[in-house]
Amino acid sequence: MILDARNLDSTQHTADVLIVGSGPAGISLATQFLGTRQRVILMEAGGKEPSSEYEDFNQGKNTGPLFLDLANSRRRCFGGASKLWAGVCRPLEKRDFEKRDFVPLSGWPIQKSDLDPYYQKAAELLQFPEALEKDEPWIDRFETGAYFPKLGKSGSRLFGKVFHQISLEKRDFAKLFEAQLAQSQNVQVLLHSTLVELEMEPSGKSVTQAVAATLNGKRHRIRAKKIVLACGTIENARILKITRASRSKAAENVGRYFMSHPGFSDVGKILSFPETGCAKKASVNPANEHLTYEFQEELNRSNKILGHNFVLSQTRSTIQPLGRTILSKIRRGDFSLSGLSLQQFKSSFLFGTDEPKCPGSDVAYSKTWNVGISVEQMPNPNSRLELGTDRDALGQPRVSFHWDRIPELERFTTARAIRLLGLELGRMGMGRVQSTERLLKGSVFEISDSINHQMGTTRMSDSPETGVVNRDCRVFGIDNLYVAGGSVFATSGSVNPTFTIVALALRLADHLKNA
Amino acid sequence: MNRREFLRTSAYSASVVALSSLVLPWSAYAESIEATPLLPLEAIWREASDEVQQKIKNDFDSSRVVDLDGWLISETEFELLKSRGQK
Ligand SMILES: Cc1cc2nc3c(=O)[nH]c(=O)nc-3n(C[C@H](O)[C@H](O)[C@H](O)COP(=O)(O)OP(=O)(O)OC[C@H]3O[C@@H](n4cnc5c(N)ncnc54)[C@H](O)[C@@H]3O)c2cc1C
Repeated sequence: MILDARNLDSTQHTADVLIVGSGPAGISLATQFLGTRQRVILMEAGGKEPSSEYEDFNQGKNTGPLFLDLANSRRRCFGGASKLWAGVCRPLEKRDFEKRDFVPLSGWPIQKSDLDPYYQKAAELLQFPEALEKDEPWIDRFETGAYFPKLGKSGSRLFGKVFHQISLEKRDFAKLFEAQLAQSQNVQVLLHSTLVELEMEPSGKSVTQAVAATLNGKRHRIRAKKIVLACGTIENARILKITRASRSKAAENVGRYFMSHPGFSDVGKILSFPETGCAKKASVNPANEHLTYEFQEELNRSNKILGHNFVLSQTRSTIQPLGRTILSKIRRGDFSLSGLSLQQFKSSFLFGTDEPKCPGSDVAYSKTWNVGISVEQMPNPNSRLELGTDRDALGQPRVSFHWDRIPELERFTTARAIRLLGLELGRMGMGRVQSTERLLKGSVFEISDSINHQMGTTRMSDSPETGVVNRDCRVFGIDNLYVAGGSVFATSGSVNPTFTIVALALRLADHLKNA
Repeated sequence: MNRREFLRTSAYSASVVALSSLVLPWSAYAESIEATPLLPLEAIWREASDEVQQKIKNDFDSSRVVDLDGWLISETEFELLKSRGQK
């Protein structure tokens, strides 16, 4: 059943489980209760589609050196940010869950093996069960794989990471599950209701009821045995701060350790050798799959570098438009060739006309490649959100967000990984690598692109000293309050988060059913 | 000759595809373009015997490398570049 909280006469509700937030986390969790004996309310602040009156709630202030686009990286409606996301999925690596001595606070209280069955289930829920474990056998299908045939194969110190991309028509969680939720007798979706308060027992050890406000002035009260916050990474922490629900030592950690996957483009250049490019003419990239490379775990550990993804792209496409601009300048007469022959100019700036050819053949190959990298962020207490002084339409304090400068370990990882790539391509006779000036000067790290992956802020830990939720995603010190979503990530890994968010939600569903 | 000295020599500029040596009124563009001079590393590699290629690979395997203008090249290549430029 899908209801509009603004029009309901009754404002008192009871449920076995209250899920707050209907993004990928909340909806995935709710699906696990369909047809069970448990009465579930899935509360959503917004309506069925995004609208400006609700999007305004996502506005906030940035106070840090790095900028997070709070308003445009989220959607306050049924489906949440799945209205925006690109659908790229891959499980975290085993090592992401393990402790690494050089990464402060690394290691999750759970292991990858705890999540594996749920990754499988998540892939089934999202209708791509066949897409896991494609790595090595798939590399050759990609253009990069064809140009660098030895890269990511046995004998290489890199491995290829294949990411599955869910097709456009299956990305919106609201559309995917709306019919099932609408027909359900035991799961009720309550739209247009914003959680504003969690009333606690005097001991502070459990939530007695949740209070939700509507924009037409109603206040709904929901008594539930268990409550799950699934409001997204920023809002989960914001609501915990607003309601002051967490009173243990963990309260100090609420909002801290925000992490994303900053991407640094143009950090390196590859000069590839013809033998490499000529080994096999590039194939067409498979639809709905993406390939990146990363160093093997032993190498990451021995070099003390974080997880990362190399993205290799041919430079031809970036040079061509520039060549055209210069050509138009020449035509207008405000450009001098000063001794550069037209032939040299073409081959230097236009490519395509004079592509290098494989020795003794007519096959063209790409001589130069750009290297981009995205890097795992380490848990950093200084990257955090606080409550600001401005208020939203329901009188709640807006977010004041501080994203710290890229820490040394992430800078080191980037520079070191490029050097290691140079050693690797050299060792295998595939080409040479240059660190760009932007990397050497450090200007690549002044980014404004957050890649929209938002994690941390209510991190999972074995202790309230270093986290907000325990291994069952339950808030420390509170018996019946849980958190779902990227906010529980203890470390960020180097893959897109939502597939793990869904797997964690399915694991939480099992816990709630059995608890 | 150390790396710094080598970078200043004409041998070095002779060894690059010398886009940077052109005086053009569009320095801003030149900067953002792949104006990075490509050392003739590909030619050196292609012309090298199997034995020299192996030596270069071994250099990389054991980190016997030189950083030349951001390019990571092997010590053997560095020597070959120098002799090429001095010819
Ligand atoms: C442009 C873009 C591209 C992306 N691409 C990818 C990708 O390719 N792969 C990937 O893995 N991830 C991607 N992401 C990230 C992905 O969208 C998020 O990880 C995911 O949506 C998080 O799910 P969630 O359910 O935890 O939170 P959200 O999707 O943010 O959902 C939270 C829900 O809670 C509701 N809510 C908030 N506060 C309250 C309240 N007080 N009361 C009631 N309801 C509330 C919101 O309205 C919303 O519906 C992308 C994001 C963006 C913006």
